[in-house]
Amino acid sequence: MSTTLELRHGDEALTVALTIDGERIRGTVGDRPVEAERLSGGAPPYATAGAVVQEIAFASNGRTHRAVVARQPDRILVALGGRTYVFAAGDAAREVSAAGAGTGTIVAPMPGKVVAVLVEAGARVEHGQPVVVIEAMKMETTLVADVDGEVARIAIAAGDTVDGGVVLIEITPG
Amino acid sequence: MRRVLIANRGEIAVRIARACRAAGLECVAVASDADLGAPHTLAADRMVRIGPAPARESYLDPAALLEAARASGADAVHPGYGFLAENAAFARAVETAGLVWIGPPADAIATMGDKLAARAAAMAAGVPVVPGTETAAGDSARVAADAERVGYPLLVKAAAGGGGKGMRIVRHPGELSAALEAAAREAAGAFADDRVYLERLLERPRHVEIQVLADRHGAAVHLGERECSVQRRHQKIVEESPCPVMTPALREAMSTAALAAARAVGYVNAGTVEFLLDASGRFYFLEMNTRLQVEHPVTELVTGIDLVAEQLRIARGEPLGFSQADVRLAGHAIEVRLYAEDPQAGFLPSAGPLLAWQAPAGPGIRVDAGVAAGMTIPVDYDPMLAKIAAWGPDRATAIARLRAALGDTVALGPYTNLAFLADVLEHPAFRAGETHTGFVDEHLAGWRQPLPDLHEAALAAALAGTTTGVPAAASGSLEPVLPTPWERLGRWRLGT
Repeated sequence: MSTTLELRHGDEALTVALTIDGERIRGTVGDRPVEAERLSGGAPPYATAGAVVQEIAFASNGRTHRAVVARQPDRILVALGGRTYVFAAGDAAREVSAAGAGTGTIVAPMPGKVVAVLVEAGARVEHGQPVVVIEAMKMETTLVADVDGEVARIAIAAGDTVDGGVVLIEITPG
Repeated sequence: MRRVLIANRGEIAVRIARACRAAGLECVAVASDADLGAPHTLAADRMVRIGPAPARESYLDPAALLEAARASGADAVHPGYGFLAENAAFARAVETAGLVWIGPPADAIATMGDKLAARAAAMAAGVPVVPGTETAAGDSARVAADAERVGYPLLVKAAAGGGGKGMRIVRHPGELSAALEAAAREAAGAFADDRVYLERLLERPRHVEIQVLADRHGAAVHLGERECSVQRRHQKIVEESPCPVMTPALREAMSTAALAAARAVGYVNAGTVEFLLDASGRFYFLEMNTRLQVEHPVTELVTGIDLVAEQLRIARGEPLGFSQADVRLAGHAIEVRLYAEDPQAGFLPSAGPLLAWQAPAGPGIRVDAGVAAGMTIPVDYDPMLAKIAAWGPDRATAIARLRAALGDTVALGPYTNLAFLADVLEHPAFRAGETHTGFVDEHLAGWRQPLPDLHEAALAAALAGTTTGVPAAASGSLEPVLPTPWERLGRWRLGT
């Protein structure tokens, strides 16, 4: 069988195109040719929290590898050699990377409590300037402006409890 | 003592449950609504629900814990570390309720919990303290004079402080008054106590601490030291015993000082006296932690003494079963703390489902974990997943074993510091034992995860999709999932 998978790791797009014949695997990963042998072993796959998790064993270039792979609808996590590789997959892999300029919408990265709001509505802010401090999981985290611009709206006040993903501050770029 | 309520969660609750089992004691776990069925509840004999997920309404609620003890018929309480472990009022309430408190006397907790009182007690016992002021900062003219005497750079510290809160570095006199105000305000908010004082800022010190054990009959011993200099956000992430620059003479001096500080407050049970050690070999009392430490396993690995078992024995009123001469330090042990956090984003805590978890094994490897695959790492608590420790006959072997163990560890789901910890262990300065509290900032600022096997990982990702016939990407055949906060995340950036 043949399979093609489009992945993105950070800003790097990687297309994996494989022809699989029993244990023998040939194809390309990005621009590199790959030849590998699938090995048996590992626990059977299981499903948890919307992910399918399985162990993948293979040999390539004379080295054996054992990876644990968790597939979610939009991303694939791979644990290999004590490091975690997070790939965007499918449509998410094709989205243009948002590196560089942000949108000016500052959201809470997780549920927590607003410790301090460091700017006022109407203020000019610069990219990278601290705008709000939130406390979550026993840690204080400073969120910074992701654009140069003017603070258009402050949706929260110090002491507020917020859910993850909630918009805290909107900055009009410019 | 028959039945111990473990007033904690996560790995330390699992650890305490194991010690109770080994001692023939029953144990009762407590669980907030976020922790029903969590590993620590299954490690115990029974579980009592104590309230909603927020810690204030569960693990930090003395009334809920005392009620759990009553309802479960527990006759003793082990507080673990964190939460209420160093809360003197809770220790008193436990004893007032007729239960055994598996920890030090409430008065010792209260004295050592107040940094000014602790410094006074240490000085009275002849223990060197970091040069500083001995009373809360008052009017500005006197503070300025005090600051000149202490010398710049200095630290403004909260008397009730901890975890870096209510602390400010002052490098120039002009910054002093603003720092005093900011520290006092932060301390008032965090500890309901705005007293602050001054301490000289030691540059590049090592953090070295002495483990002590004292029974109710006046016997006290030390179990050597731990060095815990590698820290981020004022929290330790790598700990080892012995300290790489320790000498027998220095250990003798530090442990004598530690035992004097412990005796000065009538200490009983397990405790840790923390010191800063400067490059010239001078050491200064920092504080005493009146509880079991997170990093206690490294001491257990080099001494062979089970600290929690000793805590239980001491709480039962038994004398220490050994003397100082019986304590032998053998080999070297190093522990790392595996956190759900993103080292590439200022060590921002991470949460969400833990999809896969595989602990390492091997000669000399010890794992203390409080997680299981499939559980959700709650946003309500400290994000430590596990402690991974290695023992070896010497430091190089311990490092090599631990490094290999990290390579075998799998923790998928939240971000973790696993790869960061591996790079700490591989750093030449760490290997040379050249550690100090600024190690991470000096050597690993701006760290990015190396990607040595990116192509192999991509291959594994593709092969995973071919096994079960489930398309590898964007599959409608996967169960729909509620997005985690991380997945709902828009774009955001993090300050440093």
